[in-house]
Amino acid sequence: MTEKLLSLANLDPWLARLRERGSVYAPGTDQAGEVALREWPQPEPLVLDYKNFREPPKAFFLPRNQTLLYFRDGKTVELNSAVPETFLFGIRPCDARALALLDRVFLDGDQNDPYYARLREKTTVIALACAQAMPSCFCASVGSGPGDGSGADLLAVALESGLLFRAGSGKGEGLLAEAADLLAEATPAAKREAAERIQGVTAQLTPVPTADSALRLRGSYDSPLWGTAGQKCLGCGTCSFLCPTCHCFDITDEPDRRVRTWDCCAYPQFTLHASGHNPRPTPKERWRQRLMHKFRYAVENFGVPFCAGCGRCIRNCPVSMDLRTVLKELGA
Amino acid sequence: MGRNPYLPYPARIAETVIENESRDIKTFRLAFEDPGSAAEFRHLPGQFAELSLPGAGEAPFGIASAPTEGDGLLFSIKRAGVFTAELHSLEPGAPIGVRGPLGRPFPWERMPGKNLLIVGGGFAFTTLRALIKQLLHPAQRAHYGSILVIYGARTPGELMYRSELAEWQKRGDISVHLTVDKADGGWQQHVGVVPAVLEKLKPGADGALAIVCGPPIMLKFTLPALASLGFSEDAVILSLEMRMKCGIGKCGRCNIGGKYVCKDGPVFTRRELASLPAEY
Ligand SMILES: Cc1cc2nc3c(=O)[nH]c(=O)nc-3n(C[C@H](O)[C@H](O)[C@H](O)COP(=O)(O)OP(=O)(O)OC[C@H]3O[C@@H](n4cnc5c(N)ncnc54)[C@H](O)[C@@H]3O)c2cc1C
Ligand code: SF4
Ligand code: SF4
Ligand code: FES
Repeated sequence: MTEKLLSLANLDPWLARLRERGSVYAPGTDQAGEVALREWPQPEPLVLDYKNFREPPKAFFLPRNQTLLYFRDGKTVELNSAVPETFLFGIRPCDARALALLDRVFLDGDQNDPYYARLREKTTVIALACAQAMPSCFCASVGSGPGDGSGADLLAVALESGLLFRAGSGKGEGLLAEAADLLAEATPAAKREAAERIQGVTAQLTPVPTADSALRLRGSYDSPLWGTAGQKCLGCGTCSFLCPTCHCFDITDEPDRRVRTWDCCAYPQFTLHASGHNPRPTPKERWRQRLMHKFRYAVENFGVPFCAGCGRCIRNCPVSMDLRTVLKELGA
Repeated sequence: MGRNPYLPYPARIAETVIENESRDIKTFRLAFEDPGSAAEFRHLPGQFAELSLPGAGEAPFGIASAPTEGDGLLFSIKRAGVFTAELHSLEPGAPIGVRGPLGRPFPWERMPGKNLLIVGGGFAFTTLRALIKQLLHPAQRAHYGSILVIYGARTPGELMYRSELAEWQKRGDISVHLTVDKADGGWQQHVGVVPAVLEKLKPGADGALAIVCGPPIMLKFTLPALASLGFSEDAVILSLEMRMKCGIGKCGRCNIGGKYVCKDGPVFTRRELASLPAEY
């Protein structure tokens, strides 16, 4: 695992080099005054100490609307336009980890999803360790953390005077090798500073000690807590659409194409049969499904919860649903 | 990378047959457009496919024909909504896409030497037809013990594959019991629900496997009846339906607990289902 230092003065020149190879997206302030991933360069300066974006970067890999097939002259065909090389600089470690989780579904070896695979292959992910935690963050309770490099090709840690890079993949090693003239060796002092910064943010997190075990407890499926939660949930889907690991989709036809769009288990139509039968008839079953999928079924199938602890579902739910409450009460 | 799993094979409707008196179930015989597709599409009874009509969408259907019936595929489809109505309006010669085969077939490897009890209700009988055709194939039949079929429908006119059922009833190597909820004038066979016929016939559970497909209400009463006849949870094999889209375990729609019906099923043993939440 190679570690290198990039001085802040060399950050723009380095991004400019990546820009020669493809599109570069980096954190910047948008028109609404929020920090988001924006195409680089922008007139406004980069922002490295933001908390996290409102939206996760999953749309780079699973676009909201994606044409799968076209209907041409009575035939159903694949028209693969070339996928451009893309660099995502500065996504937070939880969102990068979410990509490692999505890989389990879409690159499962058995039956790869060719659309996801192409975008993942052509997109280089440079994660940026967190500068501060929010009250809703609980990444360290689900096996991630403010310095988690899984899912990223490079992990960057912002230091006083520059960035410490840690390669997490062959692609990341390649990036460091190509930029050798802009980089310096990582000194022991820089490594120490990086570790301290990550520890500092980790210490700000409020742990959810039962996060990866609560839903696997006997009786959790039949708990009355689901009814209580279901009464509150509006079924709006915000939690799923903003979640970096939620990946359920629909496939529908337009006259000239077959399209995949984001879908959501909070909607009654999601599982409704043509006969009218619905295996998840009320918000209770649907909310339980979302949590069970993440914290029980994914653990059974992949050995890890399908949650990166980013806290978006907690921050954005219009009726303040908080999955940590259920995880804590069931695990208690 | 292999073939795009979302891309259907091109086929054409070769023939359509109306199966029932209500005229809402049609059997479609599909022929692949090119021999390459036909060669690649290798299915076993119990598997399903997504049928594709450009502009109208896709929907999953059990494959009603056995591979021993040669190239081409049969599907028996009930008109239930938007896609199936469009399909029912098509004439022979119309193009259609076929994506699959999908899902886990009936556990073929467990059947040799076993007595087979095949229980079906309503239009879910489709993949059981594929199974029976395969079992009765001259090169196959000797590998299995007795074959007992119980198939029920609301009325005699709602039974599918009626001429085939009549042929099977004339054979000595398979016993076919038909039952209806409501008889009409000429009906000479069982009257009553499937589980009642099962309790009347009392098939032995020793060295036997039961393969069951039917609507939830039939399963609800058939499964306890099988248990009281001595069929263990491993000896009862079921096929399930859930709303599906991708058919390959990605779109997240068809799960029961940690299992995806499209990929890990649709065929499960009763023991496998017992360990899952009853959310189907
Ligand atoms: C494994 C499997 C095998 C099946 N085999 C058969 C068969 O042999 N014969 C038959 O007539 N029907 C079968 N069905 C049911 C059939 O798929 C539905 O009746 C059909 O999808 C209804 O589509 P629709 O557009 O006409 O209905 P609409 O109500 O308009 O449905 C809209 C969409 O919802 C989805 N959908 C709705 N109901 C179901 C359902 N029960 N299962 C899956 N997706 C659904 C489809 O994507 C459909 O296009 C099977 C279903 C599954 C899962
Ligand atoms: S954001 Fe809140 S209200 Fe909306 S579906 Fe999720 S839990 Fe329910
Ligand atoms: S479930 Fe909530 S906290 Fe977990 S990754 Fe999704 S949005 Fe973030
Ligand atoms: S149909 Fe998409 S996961 Fe089963």
